[in-house]
Amino acid sequence: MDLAMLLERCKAGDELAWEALVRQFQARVFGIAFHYVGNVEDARDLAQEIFIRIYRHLDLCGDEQMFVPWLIRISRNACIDHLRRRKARPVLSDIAVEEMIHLQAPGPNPEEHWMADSRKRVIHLAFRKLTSLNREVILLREILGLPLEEIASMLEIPLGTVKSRINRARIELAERVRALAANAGEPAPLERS
Amino acid sequence: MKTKCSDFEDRLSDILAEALPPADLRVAMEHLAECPRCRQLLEVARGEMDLLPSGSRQELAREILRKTSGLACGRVREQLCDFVDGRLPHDDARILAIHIENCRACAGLARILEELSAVLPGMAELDPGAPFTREVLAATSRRERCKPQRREFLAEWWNAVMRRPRFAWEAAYVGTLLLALVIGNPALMSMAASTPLDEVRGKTRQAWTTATRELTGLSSAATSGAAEAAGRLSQKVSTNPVQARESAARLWQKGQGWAAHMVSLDFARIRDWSARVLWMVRDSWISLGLDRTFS
Repeated sequence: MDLAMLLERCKAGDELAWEALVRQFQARVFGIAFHYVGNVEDARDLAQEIFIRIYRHLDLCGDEQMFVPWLIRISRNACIDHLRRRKARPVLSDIAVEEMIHLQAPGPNPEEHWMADSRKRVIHLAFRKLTSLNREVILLREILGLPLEEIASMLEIPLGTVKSRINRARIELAERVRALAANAGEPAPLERS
Repeated sequence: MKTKCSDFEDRLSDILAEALPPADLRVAMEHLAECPRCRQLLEVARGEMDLLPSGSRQELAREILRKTSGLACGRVREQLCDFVDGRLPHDDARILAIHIENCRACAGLARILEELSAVLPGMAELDPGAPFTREVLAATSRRERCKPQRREFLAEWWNAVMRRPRFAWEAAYVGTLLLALVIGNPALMSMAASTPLDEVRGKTRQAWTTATRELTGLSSAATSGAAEAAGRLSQKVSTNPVQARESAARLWQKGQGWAAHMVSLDFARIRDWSARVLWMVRDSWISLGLDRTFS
């Protein structure tokens, strides 16, 4: 669907276009929220809050090329606000990240599905164990695929620092995946021929 | 003359460098044809044969590196992401590939990095479930976009204030300050508070009522004057347009004069009322003995 047209109609107050926009981006917004906060309930509430912010400030968004970075920026700010609030008023319990397993789409056959889910679970657990800084650069670069310049502007750090930080974060993630897989007795990672 | 193995060994470096005179080379070749040991030596020297089994070769290399430059795994980790992404210059990539072929740990990391590059982008989108869209639409569609209601804005502001980590401290601080000012003041505590306070309240109310009455009177006079003038003008327009135009011009000039007068009058009156209110408050303040508090 043409994003420019969708945005234009949303800005004009077209409710149907807004619904289409929500449906198109809800998985991504929810994904960002989940990767930041680490549990489904909070991520769902947070994703709603993010969409309400987007709805109210849609006029501030530029053209369609700016929309996704803008959406990610709004989502990130909302997640950081949420984490600050949670730090100030910690919740009693935190739902485990294993919940993500229920959110994933089924694979082509049960064995492959199990392997894929199991592997993704290991990767996600390793991701959650990263330092918050490394987790954020992995999320912005490797998961969301933002350009390095955008990440540098978002995190307010030099471009060179972003590059080296991403490399370090990737290596740390790979090492954690290897350690977790070894502990779980899983097969060696992707021995592809 | 029969060449011995020791003679061949002496000439080996010249053979490899192709610097042996033709006569000597012929003699060496004749010896090679007869001696399997020297043939093997030449193959090894040319790098065409490796006498070490694979495991021992790895071990030997590791031992040599340990005693010289040390293992290069740390250096590899700096370049491994670029290697996996194919962004490393060709020569660097070839050198790094040699390390990876011979280092199980680095090879494992490289494989995981490749896997992550394939898996991570797929984690960007997670389905929040069917009710989510309905909930978002319910929370947004019936609102006036970009203009949150004042009540919602206040509620958001209040929630944000309440969620601040130091809110309790700040509230306690402000409350303590107020209590110290009102209750902790010895001058205030020593007097009968009700009568002078009532006096202040009464005088302030009186000043406010006067100011409101004056402003209301001024406003209604201006409104009725304007309405009357407009009525007269419309009557003239219907009977005599030329005279109406002249009247309108006169009225415009008069209006400018009135406006200038009203503005100066207003400013003068407002200044006067403000001064009166301030003096009343000051008198009441002095009568309560509060002027000593800040002196």
